[in-house]
Amino acid sequence: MKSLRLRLILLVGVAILLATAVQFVTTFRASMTRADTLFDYHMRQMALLLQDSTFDQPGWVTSMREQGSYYEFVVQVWTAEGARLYQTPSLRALPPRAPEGYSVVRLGSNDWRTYVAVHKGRVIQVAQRLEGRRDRAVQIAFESVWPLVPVALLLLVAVWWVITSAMAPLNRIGRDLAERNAGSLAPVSDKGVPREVSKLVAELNSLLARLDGAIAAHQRFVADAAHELRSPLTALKLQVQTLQRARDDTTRAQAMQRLVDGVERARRLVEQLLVLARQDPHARPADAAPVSLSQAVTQAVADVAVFAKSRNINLECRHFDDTTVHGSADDLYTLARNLIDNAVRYTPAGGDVLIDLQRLPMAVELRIQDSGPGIPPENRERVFDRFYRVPGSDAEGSGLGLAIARTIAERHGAGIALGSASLGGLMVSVVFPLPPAPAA
Amino acid sequence: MKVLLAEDDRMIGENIQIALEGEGITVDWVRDGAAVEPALSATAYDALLLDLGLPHKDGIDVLRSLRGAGMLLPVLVLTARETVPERVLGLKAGADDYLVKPFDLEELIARLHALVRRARGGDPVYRNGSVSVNLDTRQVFVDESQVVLSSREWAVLDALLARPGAILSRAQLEEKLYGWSGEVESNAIEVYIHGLRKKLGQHFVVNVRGLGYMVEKTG
Repeated sequence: MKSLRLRLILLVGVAILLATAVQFVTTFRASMTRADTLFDYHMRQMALLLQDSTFDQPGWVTSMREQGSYYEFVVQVWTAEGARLYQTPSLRALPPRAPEGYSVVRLGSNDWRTYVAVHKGRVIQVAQRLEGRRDRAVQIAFESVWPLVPVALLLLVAVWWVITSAMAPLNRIGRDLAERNAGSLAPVSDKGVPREVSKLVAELNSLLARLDGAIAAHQRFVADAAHELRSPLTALKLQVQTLQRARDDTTRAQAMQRLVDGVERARRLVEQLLVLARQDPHARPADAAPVSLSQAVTQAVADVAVFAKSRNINLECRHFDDTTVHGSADDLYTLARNLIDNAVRYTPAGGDVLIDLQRLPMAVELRIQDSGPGIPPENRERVFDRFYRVPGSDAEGSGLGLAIARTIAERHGAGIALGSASLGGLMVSVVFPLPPAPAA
Repeated sequence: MKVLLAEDDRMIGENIQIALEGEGITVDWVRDGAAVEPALSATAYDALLLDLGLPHKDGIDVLRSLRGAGMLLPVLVLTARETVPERVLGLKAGADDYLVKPFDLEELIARLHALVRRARGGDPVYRNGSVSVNLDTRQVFVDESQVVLSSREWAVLDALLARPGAILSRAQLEEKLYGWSGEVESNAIEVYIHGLRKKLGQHFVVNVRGLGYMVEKTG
């Protein structure tokens, strides 16, 4: 795994070193040129100072000799005819006479820089060995560039510190997350976090919050389910015990039938719980293939027909268009089955259930009406809650049918609404929006 | 003994009713929280079996308002709410005992008897001459040998023993014996009294002409 911090430090460090090197070289070269110019200027000044001298003062040469070193200047004076009037006595080999002005002459293995001035019939030559001059220039140049080195080092340390402290919030968040247990979904603190990172932290916190919500919903569901399973279990236990206590065949047969009913009720509840768990809106998106809604509804009607007949309830379809919607055939069947089953279950024996499937201009409407007691308007929102049963209703519903229907409808982008039926009971309307028809 | 059962689940209520009636306990059954108090004020019950998750009026609210109205009858709460705070809440609201679903029929019956006996107070054993009746174990002895009573006979005896020395009219006994659903045969009480006298002795049940029946207050 690459460390962003190390990479930043490395890259910025290399950039600093390169910049320092470039600056070092250019400054060095500028210093060399400046030193060169300065030496030339000194040589010329010296020649100009000497041009009025008579060279009859003994001793001035001595003072030159005292400072003598390998980069010392050498002065030679000739008459216009070439007779030597004076020369610095320091060296055995002296450069020959050079042309007037600046030039470089070679003497043995050494190069000399010379300046020659001609004045009042006298030729004055000031010379300096190039080697010494260069050494001196290098020394001056180094003196002007050496502060670059500690400055670069200081800069490196500063960069290291700045990057490390800028990365500290990321490290803190990492540690914060690492120290958590699975159940801890509290938001990560964005205290002291820079703007760029706080965006990340905000997204992370939003994800944590959504996860927290999903887990809480799941836990609520499990708790509700466990609670709801208690009633059928209690009924089963009592039914078994009543069966055990039955003293004659008639009561035993009755108790047995009640036990069978109890088992059927428990089975239905467990089945509905499973359907609801599978229909969890977070579980998976609806398959978006075009499926026949009319087929799903027909199947649901067929499967409820036997139950309806046993309760002497008349199932009827007055308007039934062949319709197709986008979604999952299984889910649409479950939706229709739950709604029709509910209608049959809550309608008193001998009643009517009307199922209509109609194509509208931009939608498809599945409408189920019954002649049952209906649901008072104040309860119409609550009946969609899981495990909610209308108070006083007699049927052994799981309290999940409408919750399942709504979840499926929402996943298909359909709206589900309750109203009053023309038959006197409840009307459930599910409206599937249709995508605009492609131009023929 | 006559109890009121408040339970909204059809299967659970049905089975409790069948089982208790098999024990000679008369059960009136309501499925709605709002129906409990009118039923209690219309009829004298020995106990109330109260589910907490009732429609229209929660069991806890029912309990609070009937205790608030000064009704003292024993209340046995039946509920799926099992956590300690919920139990404490139920007991604080005035419950005498608590059974968590799913419960055992035997336990329900035993606790119901214990509650009713505690409410009546005193000795669970009633003695009169050679007859001794244990109200807890529901055993009846005459001269140390056990006598078997039918559940109806026991119900009449139980009603009389609830208040020894007090006269119960035929109508009162009928009310104790039959729930709302039960059909009262015209001379049923006389038949059960006759049975009791045959098994426990002619003078065990005293008949006060025109007023009703009683058992002698002893001890």
